[in-house]
Amino acid sequence: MSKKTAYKQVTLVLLCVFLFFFRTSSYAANQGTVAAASTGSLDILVTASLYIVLFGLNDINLGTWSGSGDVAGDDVICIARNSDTNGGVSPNGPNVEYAVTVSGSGNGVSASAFGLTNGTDFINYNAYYNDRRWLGGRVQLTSGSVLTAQNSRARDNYANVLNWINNSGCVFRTINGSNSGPNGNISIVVPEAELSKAIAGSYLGALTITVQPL
Amino acid sequence: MKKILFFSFLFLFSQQLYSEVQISGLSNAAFGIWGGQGRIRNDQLLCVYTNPVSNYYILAVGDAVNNKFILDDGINKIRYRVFFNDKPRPNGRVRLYKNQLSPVFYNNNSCNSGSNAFLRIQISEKQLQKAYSGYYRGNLSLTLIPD
Repeated sequence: MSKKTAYKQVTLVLLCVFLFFFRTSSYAANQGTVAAASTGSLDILVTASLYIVLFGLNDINLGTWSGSGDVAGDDVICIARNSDTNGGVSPNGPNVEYAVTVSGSGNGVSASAFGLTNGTDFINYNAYYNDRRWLGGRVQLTSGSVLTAQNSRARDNYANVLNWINNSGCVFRTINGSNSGPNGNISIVVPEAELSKAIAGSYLGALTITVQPL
Repeated sequence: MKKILFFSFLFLFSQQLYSEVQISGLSNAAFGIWGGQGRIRNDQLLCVYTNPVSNYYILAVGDAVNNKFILDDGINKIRYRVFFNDKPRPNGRVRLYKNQLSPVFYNNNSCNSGSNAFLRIQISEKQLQKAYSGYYRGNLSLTLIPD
């Protein structure tokens, strides 16, 4: 080993020791001074907030009413939420809760009511939300009201969930032996009573769904 | 031990006699609140001065795990990357690792236009997505060592 290399290695060790004990305090960038070796420092600051993403929304096409009974349809969706603690990653973790607010496109009386229209006439319908992909346990919604305590049941971290959804869509996958993927369901029911008094035609409506991490 | 101290003293003393250097132009990288998408990075133009003109190394020191720099909120951590270039532009930048001497950088010793080196601090989208919500911070020291 050359002397020059030895000098550098020793200096490196000394500098590391020096910098370990004399690291500058936070909140100020420090310029190096003129010296045999010059050290400057800076702080790096970033805030990560709570994030949530809703994926996999599809139109719900109810088809043609047969003339009797209710008409129903639903759509499975994916909710990805990051966490404020490590507990959010585990199945049914307590820290992956969110709220959902759903609004309709109006029924001629209220601008946000759950209603379908042919441009002139309206049909009221009921909307439901479930924080599972199936219908059982769903909750009937009031347009514009916040439904709290929904759980995304993350089985993987937010980054991996986003990666999966971006690459494969809101579809099933297996994480650690458990099914994962769609974790929400939005459903509607148009009651027979509404349909039976409707004027013939094609009716259309829109749902706006907002999710918010809690 | 005596030999190490002797060489250290000799090296620092000889550098003090024959060389003086300075790194300046550093500023904090305050990213604020991540918007939820995309990587974030902070680019800085620095001035590296050596007298007499010589090539140099950069030693980067900060909190790290497995030689990868980290920010922390007291509990959780986010990894970030540090890049340096001996020209005031990103092209040709070299990644720095904790406590590892950089490759040799070439010095034109001219800060006439205000800078002759480049620093980039970068946090990937994946790291930010994986992060638990919180306020993350860290301190990075750069030491300029003449060749």
